[in-house]
Amino acid sequence: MNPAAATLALLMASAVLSAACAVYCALDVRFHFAGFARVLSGLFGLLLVLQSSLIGLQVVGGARFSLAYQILILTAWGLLACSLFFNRYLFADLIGVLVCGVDSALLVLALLMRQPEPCCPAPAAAPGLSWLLYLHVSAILLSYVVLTLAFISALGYLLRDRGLKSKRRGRALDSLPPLATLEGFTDRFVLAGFLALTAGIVLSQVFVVASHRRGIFFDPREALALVSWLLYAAYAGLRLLVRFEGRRLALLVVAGYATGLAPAVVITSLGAARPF
Amino acid sequence: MDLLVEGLSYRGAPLAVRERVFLSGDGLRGGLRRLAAQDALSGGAILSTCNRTELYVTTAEPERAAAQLDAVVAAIDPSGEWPRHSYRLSRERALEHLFRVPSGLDSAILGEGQILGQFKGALASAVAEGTVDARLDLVMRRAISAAKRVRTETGITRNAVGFGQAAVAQAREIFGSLRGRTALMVGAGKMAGSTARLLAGEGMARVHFSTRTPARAMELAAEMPAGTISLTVPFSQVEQLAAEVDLIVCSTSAEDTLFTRSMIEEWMRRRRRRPLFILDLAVPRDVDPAAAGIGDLYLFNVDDLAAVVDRGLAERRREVPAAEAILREEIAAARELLRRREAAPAIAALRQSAEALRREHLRRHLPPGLTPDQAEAVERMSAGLVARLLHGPIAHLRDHADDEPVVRRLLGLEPPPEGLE
Repeated sequence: MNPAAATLALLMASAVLSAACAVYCALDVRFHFAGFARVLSGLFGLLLVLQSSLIGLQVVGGARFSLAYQILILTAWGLLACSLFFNRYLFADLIGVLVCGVDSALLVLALLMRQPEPCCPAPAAAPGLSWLLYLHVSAILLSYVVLTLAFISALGYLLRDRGLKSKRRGRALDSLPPLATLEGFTDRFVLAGFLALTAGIVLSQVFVVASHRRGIFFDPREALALVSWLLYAAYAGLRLLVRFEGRRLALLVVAGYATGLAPAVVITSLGAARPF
Repeated sequence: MDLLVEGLSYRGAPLAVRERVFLSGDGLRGGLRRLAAQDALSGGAILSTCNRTELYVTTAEPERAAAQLDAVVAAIDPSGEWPRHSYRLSRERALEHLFRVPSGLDSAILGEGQILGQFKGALASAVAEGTVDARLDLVMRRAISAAKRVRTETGITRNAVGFGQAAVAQAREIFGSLRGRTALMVGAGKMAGSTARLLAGEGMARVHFSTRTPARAMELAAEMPAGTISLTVPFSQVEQLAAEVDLIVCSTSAEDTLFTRSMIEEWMRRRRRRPLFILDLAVPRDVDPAAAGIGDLYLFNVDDLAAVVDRGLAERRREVPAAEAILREEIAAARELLRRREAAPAIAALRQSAEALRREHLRRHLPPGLTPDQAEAVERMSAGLVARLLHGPIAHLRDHADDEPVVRRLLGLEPPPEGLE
């Protein structure tokens, strides 16, 4: 089987399995399946194997796809890997629905954005500086993954908060971890993601300056990343310096993701970003 | 061998009767000794709690055992009221009841946890007094492990069904673990006292008490478990503390609202929006209901807790079919073990008798002068022959323990021993 056909098959299998996991998590809210966490761990493991194979095919199989495709696949893989790592909390029904939903959306986007294009044209523009570009892409990818988890955790916090305030409860809300746990996770994810995002933005600007290119505001993706960065910086400041807590911080995380990172992923996926 | 249950419980007996027949300490030991003194009973145990007093006995003579149980009951309750409120179960129904009790399915509060410990205590007391025979011991131990399965594999104990438990459950939903958290108790109502004890039992670092009468505050503070620092504070310090603690329980008898929305908004500002859980157990309420709209404040009153309790009970009821399925499995397994155990003495006697016969015949008919190899071959052949001959009767006995007397008579075996083992 040629690498392109194998990639397509793996991609479709991953997307379908991920969507099935989201449905399984949603159904568990109602039916409380026996051994839910164990089964979901197995399914996540299988998804991780499929998506690792996709990355492997990209590296050794010789199939060339768009940069957007690679970013989406790596983000989806990172999201799954982190979820498995934090499975004690992230396998709560609603969090499972969110993680699998985001994962399958990323895979569907990757399916649409996989048209071939040169992988990294940077060396042609600035042959001696390609390592900077690789570092930048790695840092940004890491920040996307970790901040996606922060977004999911913050969304869980807001749902939990709403449930407690309204006193209208249900199995889905009850399956979420306590507020303090969700807040702790959001904190760690945001602070780690913020550092990675900062590094990614700085590296991109170093690359731009070093290769005598234009400044940051001509690329909508970079402008959005900066908006996100400002919101996450506000979060870090409020949390670490003022010791602020509560749902307003969770709202800030959701806003940071919704206004900056999510559109940046879409713009990258649509290929509207400035080429290096 | 029959199993009998004689008892009364909250279902049919008023509290006054249950109080009178409640057995503990010397009373319990006396009851067990009375059971042991009855020659028709093979084994006996007594479970006595605030909700039930039950006698579990095994017997080979159910009719004589029933008469002797009446005598034991008359000694426990000389007023003669016991028979009016009691029930007597035998065989399958007794076995099922014995499994339902420790798993909490027969409890006044469905799935309550204390009964398992009390059931274990009943078995331990009976073992200590030497009144438990092997069959009753097996049934009670299987019932305990079935109850543990019910607790771990179903959600029957998972949801809060008391006000104190509901308060702890709500606090856990906000803070996760309560270890190291701090609380402020304003007022000293009875419910607040028990709630404070439950909360402190979760490992809270500090509990502050503020009441109109300092003596009552000190009394409550003294009731806190070791490891929790309890402090009494004047009411004037409540506002200052409110900005620091994680949880506030209000239960004063004040006729007006003590804490208004604007006061609590100020607390939240000083807390930098750190989540605050306020439990308003007072009627009329101590906290302005409009404060519920303040972000990061979680305000619960008695009605909210009642709703949590109702929901908890409904959730527990939903788990009953799963719990009953586990009990059916465990009862079937226990029944099988009992059946095998019933046949065990007869099987052992059969094997002993056949072995003695084999050795006797070898001694009598084996010619002298055989080499060791030849003697060993004859030994093996005779043992194999006896094993093959016994295989059918033993398999039949295992499956039809009721035929044991017939088999004993046919093979001329000794009758089984009687009385308490």
